[in-house]
Amino acid sequence: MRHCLTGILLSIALLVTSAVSADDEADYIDAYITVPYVELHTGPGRGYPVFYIAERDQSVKLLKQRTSWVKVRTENGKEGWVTQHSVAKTIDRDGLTMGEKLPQFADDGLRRWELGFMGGDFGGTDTFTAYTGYHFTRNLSLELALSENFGNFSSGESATINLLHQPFPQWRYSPFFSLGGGVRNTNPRSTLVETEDRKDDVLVVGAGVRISLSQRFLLRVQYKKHTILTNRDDDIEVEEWTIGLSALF
Amino acid sequence: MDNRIKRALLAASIIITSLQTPVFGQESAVQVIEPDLNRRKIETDAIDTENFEIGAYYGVISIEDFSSNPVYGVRGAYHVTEDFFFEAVYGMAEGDLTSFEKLSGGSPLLSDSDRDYTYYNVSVGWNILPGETFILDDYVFNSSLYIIGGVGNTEFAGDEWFTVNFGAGFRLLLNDTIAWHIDMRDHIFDRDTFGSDETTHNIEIHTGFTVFF
Repeated sequence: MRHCLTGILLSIALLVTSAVSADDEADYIDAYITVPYVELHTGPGRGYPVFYIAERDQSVKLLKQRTSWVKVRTENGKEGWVTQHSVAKTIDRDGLTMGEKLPQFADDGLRRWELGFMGGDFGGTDTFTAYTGYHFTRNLSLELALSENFGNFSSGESATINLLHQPFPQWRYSPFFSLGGGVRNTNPRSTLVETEDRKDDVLVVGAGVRISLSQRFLLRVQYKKHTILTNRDDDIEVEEWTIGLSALF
Repeated sequence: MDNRIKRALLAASIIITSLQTPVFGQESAVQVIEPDLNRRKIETDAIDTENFEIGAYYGVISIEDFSSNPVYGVRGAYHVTEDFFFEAVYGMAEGDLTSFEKLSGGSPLLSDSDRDYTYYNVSVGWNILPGETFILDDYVFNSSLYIIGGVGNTEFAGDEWFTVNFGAGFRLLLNDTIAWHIDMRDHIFDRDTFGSDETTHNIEIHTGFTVFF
């Protein structure tokens, strides 16, 4: 484990040095300010103070982006953070706005990736799930979900792939339906007599609501019915209720 | 006769000039105006985004009934907006002897391997107090106080336990890329190792460094 930790620290050190050496002036895009002024903050957030104002027709170099803030360098060497919204209105030498030139500044497009986690109840036991999804269209997405549940008699983990359909993606409370399948491991608790771990296939159908909280965040409430295909006589059916938070990017 | 020849020549010259003029125009456009502008390539993702954060930490965790012990782990975060981020953590520690085991001098309640305490969790954090931190007169750093909470798994005493965690942390950015953290986290889980179910609070304090990329 100590070797592992040293390895991590070493790779961090390498990352830092490579980040520093990549500083080449010619690589940065020049942007010309078209609005009366833009405010430069000391950090990437509204809580960091404004320390400089760049005026119309001045040019700035776009250094890097963190969340919705862009670090810029003015002609006289001042470096600060500007909102992505302001940068999108600047233009390049050919008069093209950055909003048109760089798709990363357009904030109305379909965000294709979703990442989130949720917690809840799986057949009377506690459960949590982490998932990531890819949106093919506004209606259809494919999702990989990793779950664990913790019961008094057994715990288990599952990996499933689900297809989600949202009939009304534009609604603030948007219902969805899901269908999927995967594998499930069941591990009986150590306080019980020794029994073997089981690995079974599982089918999942579900439904839920996605509640949009902001442009990037949504709350998800969902119900899923798991059919565990055991190699015993009967299949096991388990109901799952969860609530969670997703981010779109 | 003269007139007819003149007319024919005139017509011929008109036809030739009308045919040639556009061709001349095109050639001269190419030759006369020489573009003096090097067009820049339009790159789709030309600005480096730094929304991921990765790092390691070291600290102390108080494992309920099993005394306080060193803890270390790795963390990764994705910053969704300036306000909110997701964080995933994997950490490990080792439980010591309980007071009962120390005093009674009898056989230990758990084997050594069952004393290994490992956990992982996913959480969402909220930067509630972003701002600047002044150190004496000479230094100023960007910093943020955040509150954080989430769910995860703790493996201890031979079993896995559903764990809720919440806490608060302080992030000080030494420069744009490297951050120093101090974190305090409570890991809460129900455990029935000693027969009946009991809720345990396992409080952790750690410090570490992260890198944005």
